[in-house]
This record gives sequence, C-alpha cells and structure tokens, in this order.
Amino acid sequence: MGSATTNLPQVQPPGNKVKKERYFGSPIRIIKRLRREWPLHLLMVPAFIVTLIFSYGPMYGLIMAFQDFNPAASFANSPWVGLENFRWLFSQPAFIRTIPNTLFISISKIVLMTLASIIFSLMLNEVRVSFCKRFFQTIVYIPHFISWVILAGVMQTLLASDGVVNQFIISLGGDRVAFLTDPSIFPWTMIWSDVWKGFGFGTVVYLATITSIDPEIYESAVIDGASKFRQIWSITLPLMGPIIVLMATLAMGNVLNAGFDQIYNLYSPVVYSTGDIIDTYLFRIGLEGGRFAVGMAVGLMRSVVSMILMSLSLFFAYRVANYRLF
Amino acid sequence: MKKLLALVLVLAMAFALLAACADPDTPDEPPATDDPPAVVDDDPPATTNEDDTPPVATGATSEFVQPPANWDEPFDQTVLIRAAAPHGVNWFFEDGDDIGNSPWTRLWYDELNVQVEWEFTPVTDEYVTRLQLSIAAGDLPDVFHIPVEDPFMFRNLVSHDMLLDLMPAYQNYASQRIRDFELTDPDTIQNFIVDGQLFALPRYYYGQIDQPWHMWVRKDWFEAEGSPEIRTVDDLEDLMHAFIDNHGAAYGIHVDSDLRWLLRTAPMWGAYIGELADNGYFWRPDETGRLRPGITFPEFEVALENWARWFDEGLINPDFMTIDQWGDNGVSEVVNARVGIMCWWQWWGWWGGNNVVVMQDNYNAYFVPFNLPTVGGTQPARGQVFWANNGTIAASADFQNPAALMKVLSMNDHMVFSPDANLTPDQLEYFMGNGREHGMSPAFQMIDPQADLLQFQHVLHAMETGDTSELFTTGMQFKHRDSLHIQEALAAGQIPEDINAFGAYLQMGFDGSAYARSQHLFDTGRIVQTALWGEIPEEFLEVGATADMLMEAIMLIIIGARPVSDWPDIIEEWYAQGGQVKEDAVNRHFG
Amino acid sequence: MHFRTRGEKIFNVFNYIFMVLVCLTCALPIIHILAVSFSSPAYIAGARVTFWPMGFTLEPYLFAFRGGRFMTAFWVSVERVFWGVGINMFLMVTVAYPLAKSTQEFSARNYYMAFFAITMIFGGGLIPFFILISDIGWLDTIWSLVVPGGLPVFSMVILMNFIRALPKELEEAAMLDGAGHFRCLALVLLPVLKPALATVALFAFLHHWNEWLLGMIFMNNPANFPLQTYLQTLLTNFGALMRQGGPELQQIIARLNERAGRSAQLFLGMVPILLVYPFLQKYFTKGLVIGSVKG
Repeated sequence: MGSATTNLPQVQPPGNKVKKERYFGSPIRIIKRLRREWPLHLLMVPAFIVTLIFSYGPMYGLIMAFQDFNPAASFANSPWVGLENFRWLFSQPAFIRTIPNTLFISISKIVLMTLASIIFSLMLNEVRVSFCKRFFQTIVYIPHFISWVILAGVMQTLLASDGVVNQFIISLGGDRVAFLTDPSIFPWTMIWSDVWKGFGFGTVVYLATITSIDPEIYESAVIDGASKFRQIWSITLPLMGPIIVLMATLAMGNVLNAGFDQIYNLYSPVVYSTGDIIDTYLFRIGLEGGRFAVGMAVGLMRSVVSMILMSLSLFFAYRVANYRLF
Repeated sequence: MKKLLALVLVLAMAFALLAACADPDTPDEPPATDDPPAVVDDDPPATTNEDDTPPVATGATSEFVQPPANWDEPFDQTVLIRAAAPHGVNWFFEDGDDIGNSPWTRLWYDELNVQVEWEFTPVTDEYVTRLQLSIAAGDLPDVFHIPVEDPFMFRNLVSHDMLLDLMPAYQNYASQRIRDFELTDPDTIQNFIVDGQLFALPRYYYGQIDQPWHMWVRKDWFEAEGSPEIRTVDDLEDLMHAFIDNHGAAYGIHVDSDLRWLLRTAPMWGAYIGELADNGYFWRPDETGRLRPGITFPEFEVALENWARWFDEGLINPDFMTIDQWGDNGVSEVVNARVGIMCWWQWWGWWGGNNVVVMQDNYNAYFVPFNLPTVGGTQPARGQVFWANNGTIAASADFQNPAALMKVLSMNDHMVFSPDANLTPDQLEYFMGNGREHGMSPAFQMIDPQADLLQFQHVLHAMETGDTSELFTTGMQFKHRDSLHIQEALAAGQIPEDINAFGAYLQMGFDGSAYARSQHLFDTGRIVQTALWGEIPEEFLEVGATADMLMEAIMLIIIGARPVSDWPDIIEEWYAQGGQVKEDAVNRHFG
Repeated sequence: MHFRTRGEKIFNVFNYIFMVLVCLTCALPIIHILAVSFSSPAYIAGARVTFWPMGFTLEPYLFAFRGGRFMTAFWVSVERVFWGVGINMFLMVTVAYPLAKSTQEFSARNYYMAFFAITMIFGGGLIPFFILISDIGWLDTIWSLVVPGGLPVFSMVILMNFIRALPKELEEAAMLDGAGHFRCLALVLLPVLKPALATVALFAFLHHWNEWLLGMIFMNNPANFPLQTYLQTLLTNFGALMRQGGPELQQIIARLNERAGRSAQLFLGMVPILLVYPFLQKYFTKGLVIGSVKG
C-alpha cells in the first residue's frame, strides 16, 4: 500500500495486452455481461438521454455548411451548394493568411500556458504557509475573469509608444518597442498577455492533481534522502503526467481558436499580416451577411481538425507514454 | 457524518435531474413577472381619464377586429400585438416598469385598446441573431423591427412571403402626419414597396442636417491664437502647428483606429469617400457618367498624400491604430489636452466636448465647430450626405390587425413630434423624461424626417429672441433648456453644472453651432450626395469583404510603409476582389 | 519532511519574492478596474484614474441596482447555478465512474466514451438548438439553460482521470465488504475525490454564473434574465449604436460612461466568484490524506 505505482492510472503493460473481447458476442455472453454490468449502464442512462437529445438532436445543423443557408427558408428549403462555402472561403486571400496566424498564436499559447501553469503550481505547492498559498492562488486567478474589452484598454495605455513600459525600456537604454503595431512583435504580445491572464486559472487542475498525490510517497522519498528538486522531478511530475497530457489534448480542441476577444480588441489593420486570425476575419466579413453558412463551414472545418489533432495526441499518449486519456 | 452528507448530496442531485427532465410540457411557472401590469401610478398624468383597469392579456384577441376609421379612436375589443424589438442598452424604466409595461404600453391600451406583448426584446447586438432564429423556426412575431444592421433581411422575408402587405392599413388608418413623411422624404418608402405592396414601413431618419461633419477646434487655444480664419487647408495646418508649439498639444489632429475621423477630412481635397464600410462608400459619377466609389477618384490620392505628409510631420499620433474611438483611449487624448482639433459629427458636445471642460478646469476649453476648409479657401468643403433610414417596421404575413399598428405609430408620432399634442409639462415628463421615450421601442416609432431641422430652427429662434412659445416638442424644450444652461454659465465664466448640456448647445444652441454650420452648407448648395440612394443592392452579398484590404493599404500608406504610388494597384486589386461586382450593381440600380 | 538544505532555503526566499511579484502584476489591473468603477466619467475619459478612484461616485453601481431588476436577475442566477451545478455534478459523477472502469469491467465503456467525446468536437450550431428548445416549449424557462449542457464532457474527462488515478484497493476493499457499485461510488469514492470534485464544481459554477448569451436568446421576458445577461443589457455597445445614430445616441452616451459601467459590472459579477472560490479552494490546496481513508 502507498507505493508510487498504485497511484498511476490504470495502464495495460504494453507487452501484455489482454485479448480484446468482442462486444457483440454470443447472446449468452451478452446476458452474462449485462447481469454483471447493469448498474454501470443504469448510471449512464440520464446523461445518455440528455446528450442524445440536446447534443445529437441539433447536429443536423451541420448540413448548413453545404447549403446556401437562408433563415427564411430554414434547413429544408435552403439550396444545396456542395463545397461552395469552403471554396468561397479559400478563394479569399485574406482568409488564407489567417490560418498560419491562428495556428502559430494558438499553439504558442497552449504550450506556454501549460508550462506556466505547471511551473507555477509546483512553486505554489512549495509555499508552506497555508494562508500565503491560498492568497497567492486567489490573486493570480483573478485576471481570468477580467474581460479583454477592459484589459485591452489598460494594455493600450501601458504599451503605447510613450506608455509606461516603453518609458521603462528607454530608461534602461533600450529602444522603443511597438508592442501593438509592429507585425513581428504583435503575436508575441498576444501570446504572453494571454498566458499572463490565464495561467493562474490553469493552475486549478494541476494543483488539485498535486494535492491528490499520496503524501506517503514523499515521506518515503525523504527518508531515502531525496532532495526537494529530486522529489518534484521523480515523483510529482511523473504523477502529473497523465493530467498534463490530458489537458494538452483537450486544448487541441481549441487549436483553431486563437482568442477572438483578445485579438479583436487589440489588433489593427497594420498587423493583419501576422495578427489576423480566423475568428476576427469572420467577424469582419460577417456584416456582409451569409454568416450562418460560412460560419458553419468554418466550424465544421475546425471540428475536423480538432478531431484529427486530438486523435493523434490520444494515440501518441497511449503508444509513447502509455497514458489512456479517454 | 461526511458519508451521510455525500449521500444526501447525491440524492439531491438525482432529484434535481428528475425534476428537470420529468415533464417538459409543463415547466415550472416562470418567476412572477410584471404581467399583469401594475395600475398607472396613484397620480397618473397620462392623457386618459378612463378607469385604471390594468390590461388583461386574456381579454385581448389576435383575431381580426374591425378598426374604427380615425387613427385616434379605440378598438371595440382589445387587440393583441405580439411584438419584437431590440432593447436598447442603458434603457431603464422606473417603479417596477419594464418595456412590457411602461407609460407607453399603458397609453396604447388606454387610448387605443391595443395591447402590446413583447415576444422578445434582447439587447441590440443579439437582436438580429434572435430574430433570425425566430425566422428559422418559422415563428415570426406579429410586428417587429428590422434593424439597419441586416440590409438583406427585408428582401429575404419578402421573397419567402413572410411579410404582410401594409399598404391598405397604411392608406386607411395611418394619421395624415405620418403619411406626410413621404412628402419630405419621397425616396425612402419606395425601397419597401414591391409590386405595389408595402412590406415594411421605413422608420425614416432625423434629417439630412445631421449628416455633414465639422472640424472641431478647441476654443481657448483658438482664441489665444487670435481666432484666425480657417478657410484653407494651410490655415488649418498652421493652427495645428500653433497648438503643438504654443499649447503643448502632442499632435495636430485626432485620428482613430477606424480612420473614420481622418477619412472624413477628405472633402477638403475634393475627395468624397464617406466611411470605409463594406456596405457603404460614397458613389458618384465620373466624367463618363459611370458611378464609381470615391476611392477611385484622383482626388483621393491627393488626400492620401497629404495624410502621409501629416503623419510624417508628426501631426498624427503614431499610435493612432490603437486608438479605439469608442474604447478607453478614444477621447482621452482630447480630454487630456494632447490634441485640439478633430473632425467629428455634430454631437461632439455629448461625447468628449463636455469632459474637456471639467478635466481642464476651464469653462472655455470646449470645442467649437467649423466648416471643413478647402485648398483654395473660397468656399467651405462640401458636406457629404448619405441615404439614411433607421431600419423598418414589418408585420408577419398572418398578422390580422395591421390597423392597430398604424394607430399605435400615429399615436406615438402625435405624442413626440406633433405641434398639436399640447402636452402639459407633467405629461411630457411622464412619457419622455429620463429616457422614457424608449418605451415606444423601434418597432412602434417612426421618425419625423424634419425633426432635427425643425428642432434646430425653433431652438435657435428661441435662443435668439427669448420667445419660447414655439417649442412644441419635448426635444425642443429639452435642448432649449440645455442651451440656455450653457449660455448662462459661459456668460458668467463658470463651468456649467450639467456638462452634458454642452451637447445641445454645441449642436444647435447658437449661431456658430454645428447645425447652423450645416444649414449654411445646405443654403449655399455645398452638399454632395452619394448615388447609392437606397438600400444596398443584393449583389453586395455575393462578394466578400472588400473594405478590409483598403483599410490595411491606406494605413500602411499613411505610416509610410507603402508609397502612395501603389494606390492604382490597390484599386485594381479591389476591383478584382469584388469591387467590380459592387460597381456594376450600383450602376444597374442607381445609374 | 522538514529538513531544509541551504539550497532549499534560498529557493524559498526566491519563491516568495517571485510569488509576490507575480501577484502584483495580477492584482494591479483589478485594483485599477475597481478604482475606475468608482470614478467620475470626466476623469475616466481623461485616463487619469490609476489605482484610486477620482471624483468618487457610486453612479455606475446605482445604475445597475436601479429599478430593482438587479435582485430579480441575481435570484435567477442563483436558481440557475443551483440547478445547473447540481445537474452537472450528478451527471458527471454518474458518467465518470463507469467510464473509469476498464473494458474488462465495463465492456461497453469505449462506445459510451466515443458517444460523449464526439459532442465535445461537433455541434449543430445555434439554429437547430433554438428550434429544439422552442419545440420542447422550454423558451423562457430555466431548464433551457441548465439541462442541455447538463454533461460538461471536458470536466467529466478530467474527473474520470482522477478516478482512474485512485488506488484500486479502495474500491476492491469496499466490494469485498459486499458494497455494490452505487454504495461504492457514494461512500468510498466521492469522499476521496474532493479535490477533483471541487475543481469540476468550480468550472460548472463559473460557467453557469458567467454565461449570458443563452440567457439573452432563450429568455424572452427580461424578468427571467440571469444576472450576467441583465448586466449585459446595461452596457453600451457603441459600434451597434453608431450604426443607428441619431439623437438617441447622444442621450445614452451622456448618461453613463461606458468604462465605469463595464468596470462596475465586472466587479458585481465577480463578487460571488470571489466568495465561492476560497470555499472550494481549501479542497485543492490542503493535502488530502488518502492513507487514512484506506485505513
């Protein structure tokens, strides 16, 4: 009891795969299984019904991506246009460039946000005074709740060419930095400000994970003379592994979503070349109408990309690290 | 103990779920609402002297009811209208009132026996979405507002036979006053007549006098420079430099991220582009008579050159692309005395013009409007005028009582704009004080297209002569009161108590006010109209966003990252990306 | 446990300094926002307000509270959070527990998992969703806001992974004592899952407290607006207003400075979050001694 291995997720040793049972076996086996598993099925029933009705029920809306959708004609009578919505979108040069921009910004955000949250939760966990620990955590968690509309105003003032930050840089002998108007710097301004805003909230899950680790493991490590850093490296991080990979995988669902609110409130045409993302672009063309169908086409595209990326990360997590996340 | 607690928790949740899923057909009663509406307050200043019985929904009918002939006669039987309109932000109602039960809904019920029930009233931004959802679900309200945000919705609904022909009701039951709006603004209603059928009523607009923009100049600095003439562009630039050199201004002219304030100075060089919105531009004929947008005229290149020079000379804030005109830093530059000149609408006095005075602690630090100068300086620059209509009012094809809609519209117009209403001050306050006129909502109010012109004439007359007898609308009385307040404060050399009163004063309260300047342009024929005089052609929908690339290119040219000589290439690209389609459409419909 | 090397002491000092600095950067904006919410429009327009109110005023708050609508909306929100979090927690627990089993123990597990995971990625958009809610007759009822999203799959997956990380012996011991799945879940697992439950409860709470768009779309009667939806109606969106133009605009602009309003709104909306957070926080900052449960 209390050995480190018991806390790891239930993983099948790779070499020792149990032969997969076919679900639809002989009737007798099904009945046998049902007799054993009926409580588990029963537990599933409410969520199954809710999901079936409210998540699968409206899914026919996806066909809109292939229609010239018109609310007045609704789904039944809107003309089918095949891939026209996609073709139209990809014929817009301004749309094409939003794809690399979106990917760069969102992937950088995911990676840096994950790192920042993990490092911060580890450091926070070393704060031994309970009051301080809670206080720090509460404070860093606040920015998550401030809307970008408001933060954007604060940032524009701080980062202006004669703002506080630039005055500071100049007093150190540096050159003025155009944080918001230089196309090569703008994406990084977005990435780091988003990390700053979100890392505190990101620590919630990691801290809960660290807290769930059985203290006995550390105690035995201390007896073995392991240093603090050694403990983090050899115990905490490996035990956090699955949840880190899980969070990163779930974040993949947002990889084509680089943060509309933030960028919309901070960008300008001079940084379109690096800062315009799919959502801001769609928003600008939205005024021209036709937004439902094109929006749905983008949504569908986004879903497919997310599915591929998530499947890939699930596959690698299982193959490489033996984590089963789903 | 803890285990027990956990068990109780689980049970509670299970119960919650069962309750939620049990019987969807009979959901719990929604929390008690203001329905039925409360009795009119103890001392109802309303025009009615009938009994105070609150409207009762059950008695109202949506079946056809034979309407009485005159617009101000009540129906025999209560007529029900299920309506939808955007709920303006910041509208609030007092004493437990809301949009469904306000002085206005009570008035319609008491005077006309028409009961309005609001189907939905989300805030402005979500209204179009919500309306489109209702359209998709095939469940249109009886009467609803189609906002300007969606210029295609109207045609869409017409082509799917979802709208009612309002023509018979309009001709038979609308008051003479609202039918006369057609005379002032004859083109607008034509946009909504299809094969002789009137599928929506335009709400009209306050009048063209609203539209020309002005050069607003900070008065104390201006006077310190000896109140020079601003007739030529050079005069203006001299003033910008003087403000920088002598008054500590950081920049010459205020520019924002939408470039709106800058683009509106284009008439100084004879270029007319209006705003760079995808559904707009400014269209006028070239020498061959073909209609083309202002950006394709050579004058626009001259304007671009001059803007780039201004940027180079430090007359424009290098961070202008981060200045969000509606956001935090939109007016802070002006209010903080960092700039003393800007091009703006006639209502600058409500937005920033008022705050300057407080922040500078100087009653004379407000901004005064001037007509835009020109290069030659013999005449002021022309004022740009667009076709304006504040959305429409439409009815569902199966609505039975369009006459009720006409009666409500006529009643509201009578109350707000008519010289014959003769409301007492108490009544004015009851219906229109403190923003209560919003209770009408855009679904039930048409705007007198002469409203602002008359208001300006009557207020200025009252200010100049002291004769207040002709101030017959609330708007006139409020604006006169505000103008007087400012005039007195300025005469006494004090900062006015109510700084928002600057809005009315600078708009129409004295001879050099914005409307007086606009009036001068109209009187001398210094006006230019866009050729796109009506709803946006449907073809615009087919092409993508075309303003985007222009905006990017113009900004890059202004900051010097691209040469002005690139402009013809950019125009060519614009034509290729959909500009051609738009131009052809405009020529087809308006050429 | 309390041996401290020199390196660790240095680390500790560095750690505290670092924490304080990070917290400072996070706290200053909210202090600024609070200061703005109590300041007069002229000072805000002049960008003079930093960390202390200037021209102190309660106007933005009074505006939010005026007419008694605030409290109505507040109670709608409380009701929504009660049902919403309750349903979320119930469904998450009932789904996460069976899904945490291996395919040997629960042969249909992978099918269920795929069934739920797909909803995380694919959705039909607002229109069919609206039509569905409208057909069921749930417009203007609280159920339209709490039942459709009843199972937050994202949180459920997190919870499921927490369950899988628990020592197998916990459950086996209970099973040996003759407990069935239900008893095992309620009496053995839930108590040791507190950090995880606190985490997902927090997410559920935040979602239901902050979400405002569905409130706007599904609630026809403003009296049924949840708090955040109501507060949204107080905000000036100048972009939308500008397209309408006209004198109405002027009065609205004059009435309330947008920034103060937004700041006040933000703060009012945040208060309950800040109140609930420390209560949940104790579950994921204080170590949980699983050993004692295992006995």
